[in-house]
Order: sequence, then C-alpha cells, then structure tokens
Amino acid sequence: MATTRRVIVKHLPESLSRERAHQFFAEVAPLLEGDRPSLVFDFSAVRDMDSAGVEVLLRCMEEAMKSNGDLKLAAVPPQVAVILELTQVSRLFEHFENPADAVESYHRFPVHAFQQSNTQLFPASLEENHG
Amino acid sequence: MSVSAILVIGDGPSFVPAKNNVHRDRRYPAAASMPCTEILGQSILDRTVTRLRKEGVDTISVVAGPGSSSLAFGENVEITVADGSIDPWRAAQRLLREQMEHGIQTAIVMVLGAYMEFSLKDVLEFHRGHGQPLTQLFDAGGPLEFWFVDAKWLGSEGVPLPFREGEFLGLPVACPISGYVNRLENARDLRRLVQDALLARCDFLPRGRQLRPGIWIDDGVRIHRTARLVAPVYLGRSTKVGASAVITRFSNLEKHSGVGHGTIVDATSILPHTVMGSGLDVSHAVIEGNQFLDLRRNVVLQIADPKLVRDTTPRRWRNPAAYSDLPLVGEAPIEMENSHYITRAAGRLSGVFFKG
Repeated sequence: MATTRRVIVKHLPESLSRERAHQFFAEVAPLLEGDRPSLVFDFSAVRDMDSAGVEVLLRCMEEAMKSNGDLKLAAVPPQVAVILELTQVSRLFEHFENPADAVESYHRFPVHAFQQSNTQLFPASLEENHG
Repeated sequence: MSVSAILVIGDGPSFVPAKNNVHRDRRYPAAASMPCTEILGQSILDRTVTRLRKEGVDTISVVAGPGSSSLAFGENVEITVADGSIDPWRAAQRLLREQMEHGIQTAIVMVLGAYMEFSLKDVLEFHRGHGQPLTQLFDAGGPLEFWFVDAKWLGSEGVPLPFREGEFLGLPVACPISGYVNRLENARDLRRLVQDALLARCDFLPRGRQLRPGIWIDDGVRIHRTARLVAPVYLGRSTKVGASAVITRFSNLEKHSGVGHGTIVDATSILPHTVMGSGLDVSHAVIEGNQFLDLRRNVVLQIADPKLVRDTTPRRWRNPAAYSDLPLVGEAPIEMENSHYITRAAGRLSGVFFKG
C-alpha cells in the first residue's frame, strides 16, 4: 500500500512584520490542524521580516510538530536569511531553494542520510570491491 | 618646517551599494562618515591630526563637506564647514591660498578616508629632493589621495583642486610609501583594520587599556559577570555587555553600544550608539544604528525592530536642523576655531558606513 502526504505550499506576504504577523498566523492556523500537516512556506515574495515574524514561524513550527507534521522553508531571500540567523532559528528549519524541492523532500526517503551512514560503515575501497 | 595640512572630508565614499533598496529617511538616519566614525575608540580624523602634529605640522585645517557628522577634533584645528551650496574643494582652495599668503611653503592636501602609516619627514625629503611642485603618495594598490604642493607653483599656476593626473606635464611626481595602508573603502576594510590593530600589525592602537592580553576596554564599560570576552576584542567607552553574552574573534563594540543578554557577537564591528537585542547570534557583520551589513552574504538591511537592533544616537544628532545651535550660511563657509561636533551644524551625513 502506498501513501502520499498532502503537502501545502503557503505563499508568504511581502512583509512579515509586527502588523502583519498575527493576521498571517490566523490564516495559517487551520492548515496546521489535523494529522501530520506538511507545510512549505514560500518566502519568494518576502522582503521584510522582524522578530514578530520569527515568533510566528516558531509558533507554526510548534503547532506542526504537535501534530507530528513538519514545516519547511523555500526560496528564503538573503535579507530574511540574515534575520533567521540573527535570531538563531535558521537551524530549526529545513531550507530549500524553491517550493518544488521542498515539496519533493516530503515524498523522498532521506537517502542522503542513509548513504552517509553507509559510507562510514564501508570505507571507499570496500565500496569499490562491492561494485 | 613651514608645512601646513588641509584635510578634506567629503560625503563619500558611501558604503551602501547604489542598487541597494535601502531607503534613507528620518526613521533611518544616515550613519556617520567613515573618517569621523570611531574605530577602536578614535576616528581616523583624530588619529590623522594627532599624527600630523607629532610629525611637526602645526597648521591643520579640516574642510568638511555637506552632511558631515560627529566630528570630534583635537585642539588648534581650524574647521571649515562647507554647507550644501559650497564645494568642499573650493573651500580647501581658499584655505590653501590663505595659508600660502601667511608664509607656508609646502602644503599637504589629503582626502580623509584611507588610514596610512609612513614617515612624513622622509616623504617631505623626497618631495623637496625631486624639486617638483607636486608630489602624490602611492602604495602597492596605486595612488593615494595625499599630495604635497609648493606654494609658489600653486600661486603662479592657479591650480584648481583636486589635483588631476595628467593636468600638468610630468606631475604629480609619484612617491612610493611602504608603510601600512588601509584604504577603508568598505566595511571589509574596516574589519581588516580592526583585526590588524588588535593583532598589532600596525600602529593603530585601541583607546583604553588592556584588561587581559588582547582584551581592550575603555572608560565606563559595564560587563555582566556572566558575560564572556574571548580575546582579542575591544569594548569602547560606556559600552554594556549583558548577562551570558559572548564577544569574540576580533569584535569591536564602539562607544555607547551594547549587547543584550545571551547574544553572541563574533567577528563583528558594532559601531557607536548601536544596541543589539538579547538572544541573538551576530557573526561577520558591521552594524551601525539600524543598518546591518552581513559580510558573508554581502547584504545590507535596515532593521526597524528594536528587539533586534536599536539606534541610540542622540536625537539632536539625527536631525540637527531642528536643534541647530550653530549658524549655517548658504553663501560662504563658516569657520570656527577649536570646535567640537560640527555635526550639530552640518547635518546628518549622506555617506554611510557600508559597501557591498
């Protein structure tokens, strides 16, 4: 039996600052309900974000986690990346260059992680011998 | 020796790239100009004046362009403020003529910007030895905006400032210097200067005292007992470091700046009157007021959120027109003796301390 997760891509507004952040959370909150919500936040339009925006992101992540879901970020512009790093939340999220990659990541088995551990178990020379 | 010096402070160079979408308005006052911004407790202007005095130059004039800000001078420095209607070079030319009339034989004309270390005596000997009226300093990176000019030639030729290459046959004579030079053209140069100074690669000594090897602090510094300073670092006058904060890797906090509790400051310059919030991770950046330059991404942004960064520049410095206590004349430059903070009259500066 094959199951596919329904991934929702949410396009973020141009500004995710104090004035707009709460309204944005109200829009997103219904998407975070239910079992294993899988969300991608598309940042391509975002030009401005402050600590209120960061708080909303964390709240969204928290809500998603509570329901065994996940929240991934896509197309984060450099200005926003600076704010995320400054506030030390960048490392909490998976980042992707575009929403398509982020969506795909939900359907992909984490092969790279497996390969990494496999390489450690089998040194390069052994891998060659095994073809 | 009858040598005078004229130091010209223009509006630039701007450290914010032109294509940048940063918009400056009153909410985001422009930062202080590079030569006037304190670096390790003292501005390039102050250091240059001190250096010239040590080398025996007594007559020093500073010409500040429109919008210059935060100038704190040493004593006996003549200051000329050229407002928006006057070109600083015209004001400099007038000063130069006046100095020549008062018996000065050789004048140094320099545009403040680069930080240079060399023997003035040697360069003056070179200038006189070549018998040419105009000498320009050069380093490995090319020409520097530093000239020696003879009074007689200037009077007879009526040379317009600034001196342009090729305007007079065979002039200027190039004088190579081998001392430490940092052109301070952008924020990376600023970071390099801080590193070189803290590693004692140049004579750019931090103000204040060494608390422990490599940890420089100035007067009125407040450091929470749980904060951690990892050498080499510099904390300027009246800076505050909150609980559990970490300041490390050649970071410098200039006067009246601060770091909130738990914030990590790594390889970063926090310029005067800039207060960082709590729980932040600042790395490889130059921050002045609301302006944040990320050196790794080469991105400048203005942060309006006081939880992250606050500009604590006194209000009267941000909008001097509203608080002006010095007269401004449109037609002619104003001259003041022994003045401090011509900023208050000259207005906020348009040159900003960032460049991509």
